[in-house]
Amino acid sequence: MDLNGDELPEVRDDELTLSPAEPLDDADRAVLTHLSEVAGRLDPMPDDLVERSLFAATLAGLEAEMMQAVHVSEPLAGVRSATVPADGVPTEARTISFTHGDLTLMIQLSAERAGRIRVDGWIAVPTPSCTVELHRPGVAPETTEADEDGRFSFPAVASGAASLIVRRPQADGGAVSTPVIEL
Amino acid sequence: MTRRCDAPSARESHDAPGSTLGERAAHALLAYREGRTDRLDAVVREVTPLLWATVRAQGVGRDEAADIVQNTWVQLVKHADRIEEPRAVLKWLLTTARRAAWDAARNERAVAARRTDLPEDHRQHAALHDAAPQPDAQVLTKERDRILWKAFATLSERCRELLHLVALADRPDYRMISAAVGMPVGSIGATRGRCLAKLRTELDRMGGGAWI
Repeated sequence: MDLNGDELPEVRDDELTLSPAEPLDDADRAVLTHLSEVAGRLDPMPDDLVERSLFAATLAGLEAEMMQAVHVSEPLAGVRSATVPADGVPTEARTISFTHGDLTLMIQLSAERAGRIRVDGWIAVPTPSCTVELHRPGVAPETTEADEDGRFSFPAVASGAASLIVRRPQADGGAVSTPVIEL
Repeated sequence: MTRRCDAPSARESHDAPGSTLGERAAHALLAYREGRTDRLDAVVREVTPLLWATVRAQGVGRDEAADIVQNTWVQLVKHADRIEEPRAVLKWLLTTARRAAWDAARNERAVAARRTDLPEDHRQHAALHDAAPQPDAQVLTKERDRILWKAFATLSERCRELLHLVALADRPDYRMISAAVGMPVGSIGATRGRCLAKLRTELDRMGGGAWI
């Protein structure tokens, strides 16, 4: 498809490049600035993507293996929060599962009073002696122990980005973390 | 502008006025390896829009694209000590994101094909590959914007990707960006930006050439 008629020679793939040898002029820059602006309006990057990326990079520095999200369910009709808020309005719960090797983590998120989120989790693993950490951007992590059935909870977490880290003894697989999730 | 993006000299510190995005990223990675993690934050802020554009250009949905971008940074941190060419870390980031996006787009197509095993599949595949979304009248209200997008849409997919990334970067590294989108800098005599020249020719033709 050559829409330029005779104005440009046929474009070859190995020449489709900008060469530093001939710097951009002002008109080039004006076109590129406009392009960036229009493309940004047509497909805006999510506002929180930079913050989420920074947080994910920080978590990755903790050297826990990343779990995979199995399924993010829509709010389930009929599944209600374990704790009904004081104002009596029933809230729907959201369930997310993650896996890594022989470990499965399921969490249920439900709305608490004052915009807080309750996180109830269950770890299915042969040796469920795990410490669970809840990390959020810019604050110290909260820590709890899973019980003998692998259950744990964080009763009132502020909304926003978060990640859970499950720590097992090194012999049982070491630490694994969820991707960043939105509470 | 330096032509030695693969080997910044010692006097070019990470924040030197003349440093390219590729050099800033390289210095941040080297600092990170030495335990100074703060410089990486600035690079995450600067490069994330490029990663987003790259992943979206492969036809990946918004939510999955966000996950892929995030995971690209995770991969960088995990491999920080093992990246063979720290000087080319910008290219590494773009390539990593692009490959993950290909995989995701292929999986999406496979799922779509299983769901609708119909002859129209070919058209659906083509739609997934279309990296230049149709202008939305609600978004592009100005004639000037519509002309630009129309001219942009006449370019090849690779040209669109290259120009988009170059447009997003402050003092971009053409070599790394070109290489990452599969257009390695060519031989001697490679002329200045054929993609950009073509875009400007189209703009002139459509009457949108007065840009300054």
